[in-house]
Amino acid sequence: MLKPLDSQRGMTLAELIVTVVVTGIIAGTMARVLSSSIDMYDFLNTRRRAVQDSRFALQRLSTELRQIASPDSILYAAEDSLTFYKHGGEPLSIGWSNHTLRLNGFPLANTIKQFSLKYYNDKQQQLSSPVGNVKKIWRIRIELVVSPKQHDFKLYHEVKPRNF
Amino acid sequence: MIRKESGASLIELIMVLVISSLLAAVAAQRLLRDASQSQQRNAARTALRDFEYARNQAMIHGKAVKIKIDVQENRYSVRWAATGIYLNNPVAGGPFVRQFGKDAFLHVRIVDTGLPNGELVFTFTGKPVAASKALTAITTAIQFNGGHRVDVMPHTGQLKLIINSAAE
Repeated sequence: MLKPLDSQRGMTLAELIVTVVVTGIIAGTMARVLSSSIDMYDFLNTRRRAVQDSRFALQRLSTELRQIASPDSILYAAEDSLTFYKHGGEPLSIGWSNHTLRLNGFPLANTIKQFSLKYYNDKQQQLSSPVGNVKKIWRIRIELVVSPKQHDFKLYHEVKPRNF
Repeated sequence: MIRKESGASLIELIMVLVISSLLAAVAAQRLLRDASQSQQRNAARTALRDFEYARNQAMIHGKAVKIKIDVQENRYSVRWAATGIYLNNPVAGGPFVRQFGKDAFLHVRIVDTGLPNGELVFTFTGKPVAASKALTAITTAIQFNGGHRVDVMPHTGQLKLIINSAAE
């Protein structure tokens, strides 16, 4: 038998609009939650990468500095650059400009916000840069700041070249 | 009223089937291509990670490490340069050999290396050396199908992942 007409009727426009609005609100909230976790993932990834790269740079510089042939094989020692001869006669220059740390002109790390070298004599006194008498250098401190997404990380390392 | 209640005709059903199978075929093709592209990208990322690991191990242990890229065999291996003994694979265990063309890297092929004999040594200071000489120019260590590659910076040993965005 035919059902009464009333039960056959579709949704009204008002009902449809209510559904659309409610779905929209739910989807909006979900999108916000999801995108914030994507941002966090991105931030952590960038930070991990930057810290990893700068740790490598620090380690790389330290192993090279340890090989300075002798105190008088340092040619130039300033706050953001250092040139010397390695054990074996090979020259090496360290320099920093425009967020890039370089060895012999080639990039070692690209996201270094600040870089400084500090020189100390054998009485643990800091020498003023650029160092006038390089033979006084006994210990070198490397400091750098990486800044992934505006969060600063400071790393440092101290090296006493093995031939000093 | 009774006529209106009748179901779909055979022709309608066939039409629906044909259209949906066409759509499915297009989607499947697209998905397969995306899958092999993401494998190639993933391979380049893996190579970057492995080479960085090899370089860092050389610096940590103070012993030179040799990476050998074998284009023919579609794989690379990581050994201690002095003894020829494989490093341990830090994730899967066993000798450090990365084989492409199977499993998760089924659609991946090494197409080129800019290194003489495919050999790259990181000295104990992390400096890149090829054929007993320090590198003097930026060199492509490994290139995959899809165009993604890993470059080595001379003197510094910095490794760069270069994703070929034109392939995507």
